[in-house]
Amino acid sequence: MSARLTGKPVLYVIAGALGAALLGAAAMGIFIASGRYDIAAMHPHTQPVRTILKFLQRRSIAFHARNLVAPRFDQPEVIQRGLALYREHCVSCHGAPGEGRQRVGVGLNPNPPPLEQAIERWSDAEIYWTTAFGLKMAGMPSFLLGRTPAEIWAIVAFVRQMNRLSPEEYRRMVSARANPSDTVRVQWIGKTRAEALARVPGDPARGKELLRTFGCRSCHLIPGVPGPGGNVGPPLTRWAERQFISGRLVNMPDALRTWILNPPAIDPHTAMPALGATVAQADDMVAYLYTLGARPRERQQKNRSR
Amino acid sequence: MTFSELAAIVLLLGLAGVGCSRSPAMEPDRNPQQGAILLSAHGCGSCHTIPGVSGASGTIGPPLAGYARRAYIAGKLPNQLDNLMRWIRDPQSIEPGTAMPNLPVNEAEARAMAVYLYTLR
Ligand code: HEC
Ligand code: HEC
Ligand code: HEC
Repeated sequence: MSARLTGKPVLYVIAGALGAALLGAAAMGIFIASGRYDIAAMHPHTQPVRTILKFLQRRSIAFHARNLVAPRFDQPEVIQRGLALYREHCVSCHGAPGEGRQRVGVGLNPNPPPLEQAIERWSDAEIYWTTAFGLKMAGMPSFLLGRTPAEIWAIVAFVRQMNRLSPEEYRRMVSARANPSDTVRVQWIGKTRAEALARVPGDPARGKELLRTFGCRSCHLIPGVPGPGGNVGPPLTRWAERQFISGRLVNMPDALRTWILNPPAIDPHTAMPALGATVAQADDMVAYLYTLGARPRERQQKNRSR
Repeated sequence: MTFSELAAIVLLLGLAGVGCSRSPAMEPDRNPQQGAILLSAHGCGSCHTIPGVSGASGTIGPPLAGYARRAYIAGKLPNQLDNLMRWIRDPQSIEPGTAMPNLPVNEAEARAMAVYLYTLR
């Protein structure tokens, strides 16, 4: 390198960076103009694009919802109103426990996810903000248009309850709205998964040992429990994150204990037999299974006016 | 060409690649990758964790890892191709009231998805 060049290295670095940026912009333009970018909704985004979009979405929602204050909305009438609005506006894309989305919700990219676990990912304010204003580049419409904030909060109130609804309880709620004499059988407000999993009885260390001695491992893959085979039933990996037990019960400690004690009582045709565990033994196994995966936690609700 | 120019071009070619995804031919039996695309497009991945399927990390239903070795479908049907296709197209007829909803899947798509699931060992 000549003496002249080494004299002003900073200038050369700046010029080089500017040149690179210009070239970059030009190449990007050429690439876009070439039409090579695959914009088909049917084909998944590549991993880097999805990662960037998700990150952008998460940060933007958190930022814009930061000052929202949720009103009191844990009243049965509000949940009922929310259920009606949810069925009118949301089922078509997001479905509900046991209810599929409709044709308009099929083939969107990104896919509208089921909302049973939305409260495990987002605060109430964030769900409100998303529902009220929608999401650009995602096909999630804004629902505040033509609606009032109170109505959007009612939808959020129902989405909270969805976290603990089995398909059967959801069907009962729906029929109770159509036929008010059914309402007595409906529990409009209940413990969410996050609340139910905050306190799990039983001893995980004992449970781990029992899962081995009861031969659960011969039918299930269970992380941390050694054993053979394990392909008869589903793997129990990340169990704490799973929404349903056998597609019927919501995955909470009481339901899981009931399942382990006597699966055919819940589903007469199931291939999982009752194994003769006592209640205390079942509780210990429950405790171990909930150490697998990330336990659902209430998202921080710093802005709740209760 | 300076070093920075060269670096910029290499970087851009990389970026261009990021936006391009392949779209394999619609021949499921010969190309399980078609099944992976359908599993993603039908939104199975929003409920199931499925190895090798883009964005499939859902926890509403069971993980489908190692599905080729699974003995039963939903604890009910022996795990065979025709049963699996039936389950994918109409789970509610096999287990009325299950949390897996019926989805608008046609026969060819169900076959392609099943073929992909059977590559998971
Ligand atoms: C036209 C289809 C459509 C309708 C109708 C719709 N959504 Fe969405 N929704 C989407 C899409 C697409 C996304 C984005 C998913 C993504 O980015 O991964 C989304 C995302 C969301 C999210 C964030 C989900 C998450 O956990 O990441 C929430 C919450 C949500 N919608 C709530 C609602 C509610 C409540 C309603 C009814 C008032 C509704 N949506 C109606 C398509 C829809
Ligand atoms: C003979 C094999 C067998 C044994 C032994 C067995 N299971 Fe199962 N298990 C199954 C099958 C098959 C299913 C799927 C049942 C269904 O969905 O109807 C299942 C389902 C489950 C589920 C729900 C899984 C899901 O994805 O929803 C849990 C939890 C479970 N078993 C726990 C246990 C525990 C704990 C033990 C030991 C006490 C045990 N199992 C022993 C076969 C077995
Ligand atoms: C709304 C959530 C949801 C969607 C979407 C969904 N599933 Fe499921 N799936 C479930 C649930 C819940 C179960 C457990 C059902 C049961 O045991 O009764 C299940 C069970 C299954 C099983 C049996 C699992 C086992 O352990 O035996 C297969 C296979 C399956 N689904 C494939 C698919 C495919 C393929 C798609 C997409 C076309 C799909 N699922 C879409 C929720 C869903």
